[in-house]
Amino acid sequence: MRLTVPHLGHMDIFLNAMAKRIGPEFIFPPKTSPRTLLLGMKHSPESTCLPFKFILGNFIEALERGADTIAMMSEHGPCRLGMYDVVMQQILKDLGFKFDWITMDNTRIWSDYLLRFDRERRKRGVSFWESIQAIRFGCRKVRLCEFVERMTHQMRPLEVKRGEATRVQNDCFKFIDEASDFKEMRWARQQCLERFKQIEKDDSRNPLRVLITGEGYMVINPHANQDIEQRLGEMGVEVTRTMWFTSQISFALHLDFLNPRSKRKAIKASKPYLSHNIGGECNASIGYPILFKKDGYEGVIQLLPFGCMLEAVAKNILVRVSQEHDIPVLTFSLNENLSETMITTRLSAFVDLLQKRRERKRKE
Amino acid sequence: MSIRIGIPRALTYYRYFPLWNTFFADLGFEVVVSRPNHRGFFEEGFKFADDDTCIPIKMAYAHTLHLKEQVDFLFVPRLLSLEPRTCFCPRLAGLPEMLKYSIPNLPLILNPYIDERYRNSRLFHSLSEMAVTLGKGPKEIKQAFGKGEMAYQHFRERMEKGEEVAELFPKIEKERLFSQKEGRRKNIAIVGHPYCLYDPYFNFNLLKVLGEAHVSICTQEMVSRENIDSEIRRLGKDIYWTFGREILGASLYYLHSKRVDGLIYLTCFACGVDSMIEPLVRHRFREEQEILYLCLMIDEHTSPAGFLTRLEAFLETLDRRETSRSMT
Amino acid sequence: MIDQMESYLGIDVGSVSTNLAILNHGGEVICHQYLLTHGQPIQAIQQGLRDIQSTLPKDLEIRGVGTTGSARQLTGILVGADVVKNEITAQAMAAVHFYPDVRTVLEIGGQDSKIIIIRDGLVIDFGMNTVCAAGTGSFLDQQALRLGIPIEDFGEYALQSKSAVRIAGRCTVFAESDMVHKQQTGCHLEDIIAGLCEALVRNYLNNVAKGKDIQKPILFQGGVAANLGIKQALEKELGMEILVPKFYHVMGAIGSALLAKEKMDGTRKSQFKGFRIVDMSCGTRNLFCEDCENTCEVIEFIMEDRPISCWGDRCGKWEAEISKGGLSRP
Repeated sequence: MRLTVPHLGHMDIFLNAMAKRIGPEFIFPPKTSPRTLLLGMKHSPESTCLPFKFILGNFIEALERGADTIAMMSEHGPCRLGMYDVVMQQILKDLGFKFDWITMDNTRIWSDYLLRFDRERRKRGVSFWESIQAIRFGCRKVRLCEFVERMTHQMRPLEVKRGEATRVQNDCFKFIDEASDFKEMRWARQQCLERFKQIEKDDSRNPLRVLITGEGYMVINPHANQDIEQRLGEMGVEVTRTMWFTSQISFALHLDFLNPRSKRKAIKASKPYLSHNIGGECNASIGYPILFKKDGYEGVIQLLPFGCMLEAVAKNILVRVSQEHDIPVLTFSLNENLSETMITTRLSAFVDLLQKRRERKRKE
Repeated sequence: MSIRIGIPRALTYYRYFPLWNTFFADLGFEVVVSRPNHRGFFEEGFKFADDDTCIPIKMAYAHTLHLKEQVDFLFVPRLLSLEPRTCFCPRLAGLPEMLKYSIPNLPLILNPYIDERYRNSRLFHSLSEMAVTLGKGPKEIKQAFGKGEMAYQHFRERMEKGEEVAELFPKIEKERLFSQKEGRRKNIAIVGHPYCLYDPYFNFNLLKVLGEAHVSICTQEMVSRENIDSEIRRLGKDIYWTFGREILGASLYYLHSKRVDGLIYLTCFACGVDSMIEPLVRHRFREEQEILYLCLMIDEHTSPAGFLTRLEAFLETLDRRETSRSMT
Repeated sequence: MIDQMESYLGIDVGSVSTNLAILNHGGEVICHQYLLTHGQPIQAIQQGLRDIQSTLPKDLEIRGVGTTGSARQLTGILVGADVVKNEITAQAMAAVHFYPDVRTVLEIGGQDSKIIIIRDGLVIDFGMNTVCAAGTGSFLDQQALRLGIPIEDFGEYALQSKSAVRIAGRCTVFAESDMVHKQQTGCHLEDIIAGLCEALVRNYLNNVAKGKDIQKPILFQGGVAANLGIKQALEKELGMEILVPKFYHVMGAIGSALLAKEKMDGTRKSQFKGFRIVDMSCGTRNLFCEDCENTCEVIEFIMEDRPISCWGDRCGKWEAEISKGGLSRP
């Protein structure tokens, strides 16, 4: 079995780590590129959402590379994600590919994830202990990657040479991915800290702080949001985002009670504006700005694919949240006609708006 | 004078109105339904709606806007699910807030949270809670609910027999409908979300043309629940959208039972559910090829001319097919 | 002590038009220029500078330069700008300068349109056209061409209309076919033109201005602001008075000159390369970098055969390498 999955944040680093120890063999799609999107667009029905097109493109490229099994997340509504499997299988079969498909339903974590994993490991003769260690290893890598990202978010607005923080970040990802055991991981961590220390920075700057929230796929994938974190960082803004692997998993396993900015707390904060949880990231996108304003965040950017059923509701409601909590919100409804100037002009106008607001507040 | 409760003539009105109407009327409220009655009715409402949404939602804005002056309360239930294991489009769940925050000076919105998948939010429970806040007692609520349910059942039964269709499609003569018997008349199935299919804004032209042609119409409501369930089981994938499931199940039923000569799928731009369901329907009809398939997509800027041309071409093709078949 | 000689130059280079303005120390407009870009920004800038130089009083010295518009980066490098800012900030700056209590700025340009919401002199919200260009000047230009009526006369026609015809469609092409139909059924030209103006305004309000809190005083600027038919249609649709500033077509340039003035405050040394650049031979070279999957289009700017600057790369390595000899070195 040569397994493939869509590109989603640091999923491949996690799976690589696991696979190195206990398999199976992964054939990842090549890094998502304009070609990926073109392929996805060409073969998708026109009105499907943007993540669908990216992921279809990933699968086509992975199958071209020799993968024979696709594993894909699913859910039991309410948005379109749960239907990706039927529609994509239909398209890929029509294109002539031969493959097996494994659906991992998020509402059936026990049967689709855990039991299946257990069956597989028994088939391969991997011991329970080994598999726990492998998962631990993978998790540690992902946590370290996220730590690196947070350091980059803080460092970018202060960097003197444009792009240095990003280069260091990408090197760190390489170190982390290449580490083959816990000992090498410790070394990798050291390396990362060292490299960040060496970045030439200007501490006198006082960067604006902006929160990036919205639909999960668009927030966590730089290829989908036109590297918005990098762009903002290079405009002198410290960003953070609301979609992390660690936060999603601790939400799913109910382990996030200690985190004051958890998804659970965000959903709770949204209750005055949307009294029931309607699914996906919708309620969270409404609540996060309220929480993060308390941490001194001065602006919010909401990302969604055009036509997103859930985030469109949040988009409407955020207008009121923005007024009542006095925090500007800029919404990007992205489709495949992603124009460079569209994004940069709006971002720079938004940053100017926030800067002037800050100056005005200081005077008062 | 009795309290007036406004129900916008949009979205789930087209399926569940008999239930709401009977329930409220039996409790002694006056139910007011909006009616488009002047030029610009829709455009005025659409201004308040977001670009990312579909037309049926924008219709809800338009109807709400024009209803607000005439009523004491607006009834916009927060509908997540009315049938176990399925849910509606999430936009319906967020609708009360979307309206509240976009249209100024709305009367109070009654928005009971209805989710049949969980015990505490089942239909009867939520409606009772709401009725209690309006000052009604448990006995009368129970009675009203029972009547409402019966009215809804009755409505569904008539839909299944094809009888309600005549009222919802006023331009079609009754005997032209639901002729599932074999014969010279062509049978066409029309499927789509009820709020696309039966809303006069969308369907006026469609019906006029169909009315003038020699066709009999079947709808997805005429397919029994059992048949839909069995088609979905055959598919092997549990479709979780209430209307999506119905559309797909009914389309597959018509396809496999060969009861129709053609199928028209009426959809609208930016419908999330249809963007996934329609490709599945289209694929199977294309593969099969016996039954002619047409997908008509509507948005605010659909020109009647383009729409009608495609419809006429479809009917023409059906005609020719039949002629060539009868000649072989 | 006020330096009487100080002046500030602003340049706005857009896809359709290029405009320039020079302001004195008091923020008054001394001279301005408006010309068409014709797809050649470098030539347009040089011509614009040539033209404005001839109208500039001899004793004034440029102490700061600001650029804006879609080609702001290129312009900034060519002339040596002190401030490079996006059009929204620039337009807002100019609007507030002339009308301190302005609350809404409507801008309909050749190919893009904006709306800017201002409260107490601060931008608090903005919108730009996203889906298509139906709410922009190009919508009118095409129809003017087809009808054989100069766009400058559109306004006159529209004002004479007694009852505007309703023209359907969001898309220019569909609107055109609807217009042809109306012409063929004998509708008056004035009514058709008025209908066209209303269609453009509808598109603009439904697309760019959707959901924005439009309040008075409202300023209308941009190339299309001269069109009285559009102004009338806007007033009709919004039910509020619309003001068209005196320098409606060069507000972007004025705004960037003001931004330059703000930054330089009379003491710093400007990076302006001087008017001699109008005669220099300049050009750009571009290539697609294949070093990673981003395949950025990298553009190098060359003045008098020397590579001056480089941009367009997501990672910044080309930009950093320019000092070492340009695009030939990766």
